[in-house]
Amino acid sequence: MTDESQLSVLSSVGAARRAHRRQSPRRRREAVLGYAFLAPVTLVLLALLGYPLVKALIMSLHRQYVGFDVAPFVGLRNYVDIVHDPTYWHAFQNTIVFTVASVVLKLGLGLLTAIVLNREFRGRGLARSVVLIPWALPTVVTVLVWSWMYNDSFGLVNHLLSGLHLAKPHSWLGDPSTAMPAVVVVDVWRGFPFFALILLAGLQGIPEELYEVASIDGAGRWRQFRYVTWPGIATVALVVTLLSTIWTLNEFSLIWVLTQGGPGDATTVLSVLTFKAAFLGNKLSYGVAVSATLLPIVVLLILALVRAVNRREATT
Amino acid sequence: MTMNEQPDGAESPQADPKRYTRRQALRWSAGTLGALAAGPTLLAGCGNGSSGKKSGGRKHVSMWLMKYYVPEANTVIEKAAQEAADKGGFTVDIQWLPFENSSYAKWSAAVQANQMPDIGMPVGYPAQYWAMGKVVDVSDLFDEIGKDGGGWFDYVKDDPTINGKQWWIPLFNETAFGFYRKDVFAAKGITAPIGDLDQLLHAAQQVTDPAKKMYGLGLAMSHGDWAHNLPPVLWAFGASLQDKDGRIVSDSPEFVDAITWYTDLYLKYKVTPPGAPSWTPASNNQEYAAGTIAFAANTGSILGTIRKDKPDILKNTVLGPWGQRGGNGPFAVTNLPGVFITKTSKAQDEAKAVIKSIMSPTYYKQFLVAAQSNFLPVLKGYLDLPFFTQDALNSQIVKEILPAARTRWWPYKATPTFSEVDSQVLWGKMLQRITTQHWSPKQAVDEFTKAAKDINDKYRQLYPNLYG
Repeated sequence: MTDESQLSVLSSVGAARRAHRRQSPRRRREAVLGYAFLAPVTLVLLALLGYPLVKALIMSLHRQYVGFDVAPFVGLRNYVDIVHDPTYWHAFQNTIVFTVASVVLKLGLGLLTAIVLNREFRGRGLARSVVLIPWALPTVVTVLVWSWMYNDSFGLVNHLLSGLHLAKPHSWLGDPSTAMPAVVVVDVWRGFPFFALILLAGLQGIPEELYEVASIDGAGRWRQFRYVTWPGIATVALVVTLLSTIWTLNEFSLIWVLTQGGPGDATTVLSVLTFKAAFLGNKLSYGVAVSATLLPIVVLLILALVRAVNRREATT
Repeated sequence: MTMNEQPDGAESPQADPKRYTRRQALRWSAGTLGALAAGPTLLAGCGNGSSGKKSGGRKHVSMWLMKYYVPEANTVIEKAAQEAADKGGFTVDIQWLPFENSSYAKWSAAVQANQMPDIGMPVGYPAQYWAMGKVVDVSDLFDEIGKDGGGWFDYVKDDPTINGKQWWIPLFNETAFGFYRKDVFAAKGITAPIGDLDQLLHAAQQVTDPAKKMYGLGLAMSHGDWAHNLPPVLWAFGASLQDKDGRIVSDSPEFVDAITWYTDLYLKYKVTPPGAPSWTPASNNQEYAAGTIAFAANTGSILGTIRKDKPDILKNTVLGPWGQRGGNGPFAVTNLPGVFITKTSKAQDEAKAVIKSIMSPTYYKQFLVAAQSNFLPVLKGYLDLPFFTQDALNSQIVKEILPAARTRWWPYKATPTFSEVDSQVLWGKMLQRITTQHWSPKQAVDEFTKAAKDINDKYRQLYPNLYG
């Protein structure tokens, strides 16, 4: 680079800086306004999430029993206890099994439903409404209905299976080998419409011409799905999967109402273990520490979610 | 772009100073929203609890009570509380909590946040809340109610007494005993009630027929054992959770034997329904009323249900305590639900008036009758009511079952340790470990004992004089 051109560049930079300084009062006002808009949400988040979170993390470093005024500082003792607690690791394993099984099945069933609902057929509007019912019902209502259906003496599931001579009456929620699958089924039933809804919106954004071109090129159904449909909804699928993973990782009410984490601890996931330890076992700080161990995973998922959303915004 | 143009195309605010610009509107909105968002949060943070607060200038009494299965009895309590409020010029409300673990959790949260009601009936015994320093001395009220009701039964007096003072008022006696389907047992040549535990097992084996949806014994193998089926079995084996000095003794060989016998009913003999490890507190009532079990042990709530809805089952039902074993027993198990006044209450006198009204002769008689055998009196003056003397089943409960009854905390007292173990139905996990997760009884008992001893250590450090 010549001296002349260097001077020219420096001169441009200087001009830009001067321009920036001239605009900075306005920019500052813009920034202040932006912060003012963010302030209410930030304050609410700080008050309702930040404060309890910090307080909870501090509590996890103490030995705090419910109702006791004295809570000695114990450092990382609660976390050390967690590492040596087989119940924790069992709950951790259950959390992974429950989350992975639920999300994979919800994605599969949701995608299938979305593809079907994206086709032209009589009664499509009604079908789209009906599919949403499981998602629209309050969780507790859904769970109580399923709980009754699973009842070993009076439940519909046993009635149908034994009526068709397919299986003997079974205690679906009372047998550890079937309790977790039974819980997953309820979560999938309740959650797949959300996947279907979002993926259907994604499918509707794919131009029809792409299918026509693919068809002219001789692509069959599977190749059309692989090279047109899936790339068109992949980012949406990623976003909805990440969202659902975060929700499912934290799922509590469904499992609690169905099994209370039992039998034994066959369906105890980390959220249930937190509740049991803190509010039933009165070991508040231990329960908080259990909960805090999920935090890094959730933070990573949220970062991945934000990245996926940004990528989607960039592509659209 | 000229100097007066805005980058986003908006006009300069200086163009017309009187004009209310979009930016000003947005600024105002942002400020207002911020204040609105922050205001309630800050105010909530400054709050000091809900109990005893004034409502329209009058004091207010809030109550959390367990919702029993007999709505008529709950209505009597509501009337009595309202009458006290009307007379005393204050207001009252009752929140009925369901018989679920969630109610215990609600109490835990309320205690930790110091947001308790004025009057509380917790899940299980109130002793743990005494230990936390959350309840007030109600000795004077206890004495007054005792005088009005012909005196407290001795075993009831022990219940709320700690260090010579009374800290809660036992409301009623809820005794659990056996309900036998005499027709089902008679079909196999067996006469019910059955006075021996091993004979009960033998009889249950004979009447169990899964193909006909009939099981001998309807016993919860879960946290749903709120009827406390386990203690009478423990006692019959010579075991108990705590000894006469309040020490946890659940690691005794007798305790393991009792647990083995109890869980074998499900695992080995298969005389309980397959869903027993996931039963809720209501399951045994439902199964007995549905005619799928030949024996259930519960409070009079079953009697209330079948009196109302299942006269054919009522006709074929006989009552009796749990059978004896090796000379121990027979036994029935008594619960004494009590109410306390919280230390945070700003309406303690009003709260006392409410409790006094509920326990007054006028309302207490109504309450016992409305409860349809679910509850028995804790005061001596009410056992000779026609309701208890003229009805054959009620009379049997009073004459034959009550003498066999022991309080849940027998042979010691309702310590905070017992209160916490009992409230959590801690043995439910032990039963599930054995029946569903293939743990040996010894392993499961060891885990249970460790949990109980941890709780005991917590309280023993604070109140060493409570324990021997």
